[in-house]
Amino acid sequence: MEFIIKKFFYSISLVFGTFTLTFIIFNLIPTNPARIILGPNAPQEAVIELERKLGLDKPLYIQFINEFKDTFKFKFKKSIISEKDVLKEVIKRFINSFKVIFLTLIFSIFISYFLNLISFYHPKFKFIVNITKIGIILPTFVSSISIITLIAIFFPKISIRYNPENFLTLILPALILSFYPIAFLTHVFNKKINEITKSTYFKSAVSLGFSKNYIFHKICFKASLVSLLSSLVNILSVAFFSTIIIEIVFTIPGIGLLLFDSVIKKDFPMLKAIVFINALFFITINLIAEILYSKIDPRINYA
Amino acid sequence: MLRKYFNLFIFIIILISTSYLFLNIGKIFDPFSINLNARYQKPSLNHPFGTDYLGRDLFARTMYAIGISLKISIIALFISFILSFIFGSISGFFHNKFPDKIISWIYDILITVPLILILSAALSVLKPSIEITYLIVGLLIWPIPARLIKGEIIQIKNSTFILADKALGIPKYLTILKSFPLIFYPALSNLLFNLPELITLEIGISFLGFGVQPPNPSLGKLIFQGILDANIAWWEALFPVLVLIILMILIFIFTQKLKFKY
Repeated sequence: MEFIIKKFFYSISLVFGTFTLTFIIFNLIPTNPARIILGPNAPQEAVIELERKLGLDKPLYIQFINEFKDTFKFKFKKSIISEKDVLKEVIKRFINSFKVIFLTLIFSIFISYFLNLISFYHPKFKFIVNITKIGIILPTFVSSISIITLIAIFFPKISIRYNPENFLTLILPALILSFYPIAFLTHVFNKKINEITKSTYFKSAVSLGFSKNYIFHKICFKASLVSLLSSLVNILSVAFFSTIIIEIVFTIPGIGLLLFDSVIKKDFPMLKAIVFINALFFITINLIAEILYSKIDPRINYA
Repeated sequence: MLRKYFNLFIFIIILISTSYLFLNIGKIFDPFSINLNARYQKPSLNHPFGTDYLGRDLFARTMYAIGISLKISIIALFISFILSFIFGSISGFFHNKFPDKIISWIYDILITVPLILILSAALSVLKPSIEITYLIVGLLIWPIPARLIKGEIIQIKNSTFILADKALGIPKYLTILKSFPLIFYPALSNLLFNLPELITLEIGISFLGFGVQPPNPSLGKLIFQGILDANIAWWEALFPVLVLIILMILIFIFTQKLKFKY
């Protein structure tokens, strides 16, 4: 329990750190955001007006305190371009992205599980696992980009655009995204199983006559759960990078497309909110995973 | 010891020379000249990869783009290596003390927040250019090699030959100088494992609209344009992707060789 409280406060300090990092990026780099937004030909009065609107005319430490208060009350400034409430917009887009990422995770978990199950039951099918290892050679989104290219060249008639009413249009992007996670998870799981099959407790379980089903699920799966979980967390942040590209190609209105739009239109409040909320999400995920490790494997004790 | 460093050194030399080779091949075939009479030409002997919507030679453009990506990612690796050496050795020498705790706090922030978020935030403020992009990337990817250097230093601090040096009364700076080459190898090889990721980072950044500015060709923009034109010109995206995959596999094979030469 003490460990959980410690981790919780440490995560809060990490949130504060990311806030400081974004503040440094947006305020300390010697450029004028108001000038960037309005362009080089804008009159000086308009620039000063916008500076006042963004709160850039105050001293730096007051800006920092004001923004700190606002951000931790989840009161963000309104978007410069669309005048929308930033928080609502980000959360709405985030849910769209999360659908894709969730489907990807489900696909990758189930496919890697079944591949390992098959190769465990019938060792002659082991070559399938070895083939998927090719996926790790290619960096995270090279595989997805090459699949998109192949689809665009050989099946030009497939309409790949996302349709919000039709849930099935999410399946193709999710499948393309899950190419790397499948390879990664299969590799990790397979390596762990190979390790376990050499151990003495595995041999004793076999000689005691437990069924293959029992051995796979109760011994191999349970023992490799921690490393699978940590690689899932790893995959989540990797998948985030690829979703940006997938969303731009498939025009899914997710967080990646929002990032793309607000980067192009120089929508700084929106960008701040995107960075902060995503950082919050990833830090929470990490916290949950670290608590889960110690629950799954009691030997892990960070305190 | 010397042998594995020799391998690393040769690998780095090969990388730098291939980047210059790619750049020069691209320059010879002329990636910039526009020829509107030769739009969307199929691959032939004159244009091995075909031409694009402005009649520019795609072979030259692909080679030039890969050359730029390679060259700049090597520079980013170099920057992050220096940073990881500084921070890693500080936190290794002051293990579990104040400087180490601050550095590992920063490490945790940079690891948990996805790279692309910090990168796009920084790039929206700055002027978009590929050099600045990779400078920031170099500033962001130092944590993992720094951890490796820290681990090596802690391991060496507890080893017996340091104890022997202490007992013999050898001055501290001599001991540090002696154990200097021992700490680099894991960090360097880890950075080189990240090289494919860095080369392809350019693609993701080009999709967001930063990266190499026109008229210079960029791999991401070539592929993106090729996907848009896929039903008119199949060769436009196919060849850059194929070259990219071959390059990735070659780098993978080389880095695997490095790994087993311990």
